[in-house]
Amino acid sequence: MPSVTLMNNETAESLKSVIEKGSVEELLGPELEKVHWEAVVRGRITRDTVEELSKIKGEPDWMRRLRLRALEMFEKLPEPKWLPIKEEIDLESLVTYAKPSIERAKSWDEVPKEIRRYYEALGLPELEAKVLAGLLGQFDSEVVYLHVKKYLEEKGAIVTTMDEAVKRYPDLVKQYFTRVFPPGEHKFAALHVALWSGGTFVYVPPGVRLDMPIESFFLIGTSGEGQFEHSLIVADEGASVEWLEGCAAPVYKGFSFHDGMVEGFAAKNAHLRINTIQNWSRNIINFNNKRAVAMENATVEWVEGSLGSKVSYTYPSTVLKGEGARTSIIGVTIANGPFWKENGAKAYHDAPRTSSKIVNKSVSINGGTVVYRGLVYVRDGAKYAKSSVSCDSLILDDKSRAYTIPHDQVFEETATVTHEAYTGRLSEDKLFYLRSRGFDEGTARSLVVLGFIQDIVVRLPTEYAMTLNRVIELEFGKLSRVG
Amino acid sequence: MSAKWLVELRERARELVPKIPYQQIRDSPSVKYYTDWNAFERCADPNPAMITRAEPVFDLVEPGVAVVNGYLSLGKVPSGVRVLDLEDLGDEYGSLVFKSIDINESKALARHVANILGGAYVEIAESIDEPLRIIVNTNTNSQVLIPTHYTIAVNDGVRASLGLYIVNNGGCPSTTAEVYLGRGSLLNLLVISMGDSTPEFTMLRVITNENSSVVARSLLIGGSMNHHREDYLLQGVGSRLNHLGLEVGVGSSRIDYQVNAMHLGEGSSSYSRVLGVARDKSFIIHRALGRIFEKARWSDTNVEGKVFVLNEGAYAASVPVIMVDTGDVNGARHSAADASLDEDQVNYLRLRGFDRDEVMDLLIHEVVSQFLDSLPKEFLVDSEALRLLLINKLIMKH
Repeated sequence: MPSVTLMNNETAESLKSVIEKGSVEELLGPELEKVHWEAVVRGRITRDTVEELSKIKGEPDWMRRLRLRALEMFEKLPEPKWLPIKEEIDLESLVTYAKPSIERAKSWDEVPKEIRRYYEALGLPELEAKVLAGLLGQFDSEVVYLHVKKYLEEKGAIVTTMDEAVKRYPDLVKQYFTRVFPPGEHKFAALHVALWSGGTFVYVPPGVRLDMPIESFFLIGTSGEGQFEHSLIVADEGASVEWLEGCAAPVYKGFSFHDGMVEGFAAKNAHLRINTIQNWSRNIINFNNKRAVAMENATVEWVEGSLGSKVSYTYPSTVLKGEGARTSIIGVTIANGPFWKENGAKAYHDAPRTSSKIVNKSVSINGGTVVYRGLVYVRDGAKYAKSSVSCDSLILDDKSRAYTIPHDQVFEETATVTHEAYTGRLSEDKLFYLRSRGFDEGTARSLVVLGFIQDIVVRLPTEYAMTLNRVIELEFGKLSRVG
Repeated sequence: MSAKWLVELRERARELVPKIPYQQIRDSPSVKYYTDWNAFERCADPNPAMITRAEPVFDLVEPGVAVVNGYLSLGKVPSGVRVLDLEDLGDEYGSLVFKSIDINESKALARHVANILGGAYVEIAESIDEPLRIIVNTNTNSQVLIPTHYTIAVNDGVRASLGLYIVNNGGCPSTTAEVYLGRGSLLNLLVISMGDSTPEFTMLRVITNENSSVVARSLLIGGSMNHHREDYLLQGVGSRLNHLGLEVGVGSSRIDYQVNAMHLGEGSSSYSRVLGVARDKSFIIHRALGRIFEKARWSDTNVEGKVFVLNEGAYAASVPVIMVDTGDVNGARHSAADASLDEDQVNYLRLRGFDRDEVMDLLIHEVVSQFLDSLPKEFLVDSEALRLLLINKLIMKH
């Protein structure tokens, strides 16, 4: 696999490999030998299914009851009219829980070869050694690798799997789990809570500021699977944490369904940053529920890079609950090929002097459709709240589409909410200029696209920024060769 | 006795009413309907006992066509303009009515057509210097639906001005209008909607032809639940829209104002700007769509909105949407701002002796002036009359 050799060169190259191929298929190759599953749940989702899942996991009774309540909601809630997702999914045909038959490893040597090869192809062991405080690797429905550096233990931070946290820190988990994103909000949120498995739990105690990020990487190993991981990231008062989330899958013959959830909580004066680079293969239907709460003077930052998948619906949201809370939600979306990519944002201003900034950049080509769907809600009493939303879309050919659908709802007279958006095409003048300076067409195109998303890239962590740059070069550079 | 086409149309609509909802699409779980459709459910279907002939309660401008409670009468109709009562239309003209509006779209439309009381077919065959003014007036004590419809055809190369005044003095006015522009024609369009304590529904659809232009100005004042939608279908190659709207929420009014610029013709261009003022306990909504379809290559659209929330208890929502289905686009842009009064400006004015209410009045005056000053000169009479009306109605007495 030549890409692996390429990745071994330097640190910055390592994470890049997650997405450098544009299509992860190229990187991971086709699904090869199936990883043996020790336990599987499939078929119609009933009370028995959920009970069985809970039993396999050996979890406490309160979680079993919570799952069952969510299942009842799933059955009662109407099909979402706001998403054309239903036609794509036959839930009964999916494996909703798949436990790989391996013990969770603490070092890469302990991880079986057939799974390790995926992570090695993605360059994760190297990345972990160099820049991460902790790394969690989930394969199908369970976490197969968890390594937490001593640094985190010394700081008193808890970094573990969500399943483990439910058993070891029930009081802590109960405070936040499904409190940020209640299962009753819509059908797929309820489905998620009924079936969740795996995911990450991070708790940073008061006053602790972590200067190294923690990463979780999610892989779906085969087709016909549903992955429902649940991550909960909590920064207690005055704490600071950055969490990176990566997603990938090899190429399949069929499709798989991802219905994950990320809940974040930033207590008073805390700082929480969540970065996602989603590069599922083009067989994945990706639906992600993401929400964080920011208390007094807290900051929540989201960076959402949506590169892969067949269809994708992601709306990172922040509830600005405490006075002076801030959020920024930055999104980059690329739809290359006949794919539907929704990458939106929501900011709920629930307290005075809160502020939100939403920046979204999207590129569509080869029949791709990008959609920004967002909401800024300012509650009555959220005095002097401020919000600005800016969305830019670039359409690179006559077959592709870009839709921008924002909602600004202001119930407070002292608030100021602004929105700007622009959709345009690739400028022939710019291309001509670059070509006249000696760049071939592919390079010229990728330079224009890089220029277009530049003001977002500078806000990304260096590793991710370089990765994104590389993927743009590869995606748009090769276009000229295709013709 | 109605014409056969109208009887059949009503019958078809009547069958649809129980089968379709008021609104088909919800945007997301966190976004609710902007129009309170339950308010329309409280408007009874009309029956002859509830609706009688009445004089128009409106003397702002002289009407060319007046339709009061569905009954049509003619006033000063410019030469070159032909007006036919909807009830008198034969099948040939009848087949042109509701051609651009799909009654399957919503229950509001189906109810409208099922109960239609009257309206007019208007043909503007020659250029006219004076505007043709159509006054749609409802005047009853019953909360009853009063649906009327207008089909207006502007011939090729004609230059015309059309004023459509919808004045609610009781009842639930339900008004639909479709305006067809001929090749190379120019239409100055002024739409005025004056709400009352009963809900009102308006749907205007303008369809452009090759190289035709429409300069549209819309003013919406109050209304307990005013659902007002304007669709501009830029179907003709090189056709153009220039639109400015002003919505003013006072008292406990709620206005859901929707402007859609849909580009189907190559090289078409649209610009829409909506200003809004919400005071007292009002809720104003501005929704705008600029859509460039695949075949409308090399088109451009620009939709803007600026809404001022003037006091505690007043609300605003903006939904400026752009949808582009082709990369061969000259540009699509939108911007929206829901803003409070600028505190620096308020302080400046207060230092000069104005109290806060007067500052608000000044702002309203400024926004109203911006709107009225933008009216094409053909609407000079209308502009002066509206200025007086708005100042009396909106600016507080101190």
